[in-house]
Amino acid sequence: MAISKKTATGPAPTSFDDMAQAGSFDTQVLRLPGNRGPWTIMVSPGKLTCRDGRILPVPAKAPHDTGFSSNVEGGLGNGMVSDLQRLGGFVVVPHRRPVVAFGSKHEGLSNYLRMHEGSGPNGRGAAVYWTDAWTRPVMYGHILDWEYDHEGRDEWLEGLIDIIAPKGLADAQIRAAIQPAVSAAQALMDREDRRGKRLLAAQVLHIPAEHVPDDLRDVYEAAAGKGMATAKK
Amino acid sequence: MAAGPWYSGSGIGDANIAVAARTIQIALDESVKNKEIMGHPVMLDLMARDTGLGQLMGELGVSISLATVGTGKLAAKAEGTEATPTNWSVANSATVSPARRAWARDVSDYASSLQNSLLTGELSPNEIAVMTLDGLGAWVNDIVDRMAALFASATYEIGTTGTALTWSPLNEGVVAFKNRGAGRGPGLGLISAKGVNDLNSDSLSLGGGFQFSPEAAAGISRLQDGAFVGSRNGIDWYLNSELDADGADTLGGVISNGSFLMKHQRVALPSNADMVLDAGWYTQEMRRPGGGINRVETVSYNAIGILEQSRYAAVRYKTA
Repeated sequence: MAISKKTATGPAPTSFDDMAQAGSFDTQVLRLPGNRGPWTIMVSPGKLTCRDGRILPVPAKAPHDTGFSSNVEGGLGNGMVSDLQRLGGFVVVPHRRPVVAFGSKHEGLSNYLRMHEGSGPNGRGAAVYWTDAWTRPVMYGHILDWEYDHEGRDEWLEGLIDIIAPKGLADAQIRAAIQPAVSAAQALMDREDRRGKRLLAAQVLHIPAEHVPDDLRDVYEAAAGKGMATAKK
Repeated sequence: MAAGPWYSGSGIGDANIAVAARTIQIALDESVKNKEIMGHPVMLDLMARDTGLGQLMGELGVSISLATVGTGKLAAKAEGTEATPTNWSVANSATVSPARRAWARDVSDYASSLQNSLLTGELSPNEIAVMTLDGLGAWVNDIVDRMAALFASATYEIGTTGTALTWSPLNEGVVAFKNRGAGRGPGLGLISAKGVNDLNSDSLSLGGGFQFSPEAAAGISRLQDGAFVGSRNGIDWYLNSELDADGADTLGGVISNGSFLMKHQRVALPSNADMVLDAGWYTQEMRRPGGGINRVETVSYNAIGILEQSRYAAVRYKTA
């Protein structure tokens, strides 16, 4: 639409250079998915998994918000923490435990959580949204995307084994960690279709090399040899 | 478009234009999937148990203990020998403490006067209808969101980390579910679109009888079924967008009766409150904060927690 003479008042501009420098991406408001409160991570000696050749504890979340379990205002999620301790044998991972995320040390109210402040969905209202330390937002114009440091997170999770098995993992714990992946791989091994073979190659590499059962050994070595994933000890 | 309170020039007031009258209808949002599960038998059971616990009277929460009964075995005992009594035990217990949860919206008198006649469908006839529909949505979304958050606290899991969901681990997980004694009654599954697509691709590539089984056929999604994507392994699966991530995995879930404990406290509005609605589960009150504004606050006092871990499981699969 043409600017009418009535609004185009004042001296004619001689340069637009200053305008181009007026904005900064650093000042962009995060458009968050909504509000999400913090939580405490808990781990259990009986809840483990194996991923990319590592045995890892599976973290459980104990949300701090009231409305979960018997949480009370300002109680930092003690009700939910207590439930998970009682119901599943979970233990608390201290918030001050050192964390490295995205290649650098992360410290905050909680070392393993990040608090993000911005607007709510579609830019409406104010929102506070917590993520773990290995997740951070990035804005592309009005589009919110998330960056993840899955490798850093898995390294940290692996370190939590000293909480649930200070003397090392027992055979029962190792079995519990690898059994779902072994069962899934064994089921896929009998399949003839291409999808099944592709899934098998991906699945088998999650099992730590030293725990690959004999019937999956050939498949494992073939998949590891093709470099389909970074199988680690 | 100017998001904000519903004034004559912002929020829904954005619909005012100079040249012609508009009508206003409700926008589609993916959260509509939350409402679709509220009538499922598992959700009805959750709400019935909630109601059955009655009103709190002087206490701040409710607790349920799970007594181990009928699990022992008779043993051989000679005549004249009395059996030694076995101790009773309480397996575990859950406590939930209802907490105030609220959601508020503003609408100006001027906006109402300008726009009430434009409201159509579910939004008609006026701003009160909009507020009641909005409050219901907020209450449902909150319940489903917190329920989905509990998947990250599950002791039992179906599926494997870092891989697409396939039929075999799902089947094994359901067998494990049944083996714990929890495989009775209805099952409700919440899953993302990626999870459903993983399962369907897997079912269709399995070949043989499975490829053509009713369960595989059920996976061929029907548009008119909404969020419901078929029953598989005796579980009614619904698409859901409230699911949390755990690293690179998505955590869906399978819930059976008795897995969660929910408790609402019915808090009636006092006689001097300007009540819009008392739905029992929540109330809506209108206030006049000043400046020709009506503020409607939807308030529910409730909490949800885990009642019995054995009765639910997280469904884990690679997100992307």
